[in-house]
Amino acid sequence: MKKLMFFIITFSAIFGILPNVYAMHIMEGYLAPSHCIAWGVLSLPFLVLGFHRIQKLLENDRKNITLLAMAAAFIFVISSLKIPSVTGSCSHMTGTALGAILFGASPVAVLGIIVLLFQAILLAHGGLTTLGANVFSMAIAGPFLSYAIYKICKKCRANTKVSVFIAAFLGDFFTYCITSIQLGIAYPSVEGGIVSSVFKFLGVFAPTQLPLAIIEGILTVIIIIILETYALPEMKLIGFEKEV
Amino acid sequence: MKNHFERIDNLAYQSPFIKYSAMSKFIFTITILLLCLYFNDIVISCYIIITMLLINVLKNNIKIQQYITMLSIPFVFVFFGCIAIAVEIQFKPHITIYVTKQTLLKSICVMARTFGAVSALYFLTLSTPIYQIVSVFQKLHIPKILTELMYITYRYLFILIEVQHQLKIAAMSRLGYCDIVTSFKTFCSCIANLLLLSLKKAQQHYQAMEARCYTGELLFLQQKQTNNKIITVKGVLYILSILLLKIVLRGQAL
Repeated sequence: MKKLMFFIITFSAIFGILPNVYAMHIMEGYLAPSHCIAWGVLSLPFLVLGFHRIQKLLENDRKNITLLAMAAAFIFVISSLKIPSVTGSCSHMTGTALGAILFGASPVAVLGIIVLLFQAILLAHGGLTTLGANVFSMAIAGPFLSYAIYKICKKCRANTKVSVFIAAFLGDFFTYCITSIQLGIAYPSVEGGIVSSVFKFLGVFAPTQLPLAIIEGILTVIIIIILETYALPEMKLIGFEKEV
Repeated sequence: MKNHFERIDNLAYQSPFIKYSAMSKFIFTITILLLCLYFNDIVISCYIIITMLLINVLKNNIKIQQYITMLSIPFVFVFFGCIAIAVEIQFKPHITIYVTKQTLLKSICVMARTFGAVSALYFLTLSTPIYQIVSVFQKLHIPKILTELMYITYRYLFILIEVQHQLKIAAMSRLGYCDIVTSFKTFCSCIANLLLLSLKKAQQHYQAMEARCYTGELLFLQQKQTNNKIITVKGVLYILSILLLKIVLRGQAL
């Protein structure tokens, strides 16, 4: 266990100073073709659901098209912003939890695929063949979990701050777990098989991702508080209701 | 971020291949990507990395330093991922961490494959502006709502990045990032403000579109694209050369 700790600490020290940790996008070429197709097929039902939701939104009011496009652009921009940090490393928000809380989970799945496509083409984060896997972890698993937790907390009349924090933190954490599982299934280790491999990937990405999930939770809470204070009319416009 | 984003866009517009049919470029890239993934061979991956570097630098007029910087972006992920593949952990009887020759080879192979695929993707990125890629999606019968959203989103990206940049400069000039607590606060207010501004802009844009007779369909003037036969033949020859290399390698292995 000591060795493992040493291992993790060393790597976090090395990568604490490296710029631009976009660690959770699975890169182009990293997954075998069969895995790419499988994850794509798995995310398809969610995308169809989101697509119908968006279609309905547009049928209700054509005006929503600029709103949706702005939402996608907004998610893109906040996911590429550098979070201020002590060590000088640059970490990034996933932004999907905030998106899910603001816009709802199923539209975010569709907006997420557009965002991920642009990130792959313009910034080389993620890729065309790994799009399916990335969409599943970042635009489906994370947002749907965040949204579900947020709704449940709201039903239980929990404090807004607490529910937003839990939703954002777990959403981010879940995204990271799913990515590790995807990588673990793609590259099972010789001895322990898939399970041991999943833990290896979890361990390797933990130093960057765990603090990030907590920071993302805190940031999302502050953002929601600011928005609730200053921008309730606009928030109602996009379907976000203030809890009583 | 802002500079990187605009640079890639500029490079794509300045590419010598811009007038060449987007569909052919797309098919070319996807074929190479799939070949690279399917063969999963270190020699072929290296061949693709080197030839793509040559194509991008010599034919596509990208400066070599720029290209290398861009290739280094995926490095962190690839490095982490390859460590996880190379290292094996044994729990019984003691926890031991070890590397075997096989796992090390495998991780290097995956690393080469990833960089091969990324360089193939860069060819598409650096030779095809987004509007051409979206037009390819349109031809592939992806629902109109999605392609329309892509068009508008792409335009808004530049607006929002510009707004964010201005917000950041304004905050910095007022010592908004002087210590860690203040910078957290500033960061959050920037994002909240960005959302408000983007909502306002979305409403204004719809009005502007309506004033220009928008009835639910966006039409763009497409630049004329030609299918240069010489380039097509060269592309096919390049793909054939990958296949030939695979056959030669297989012959050697036997």
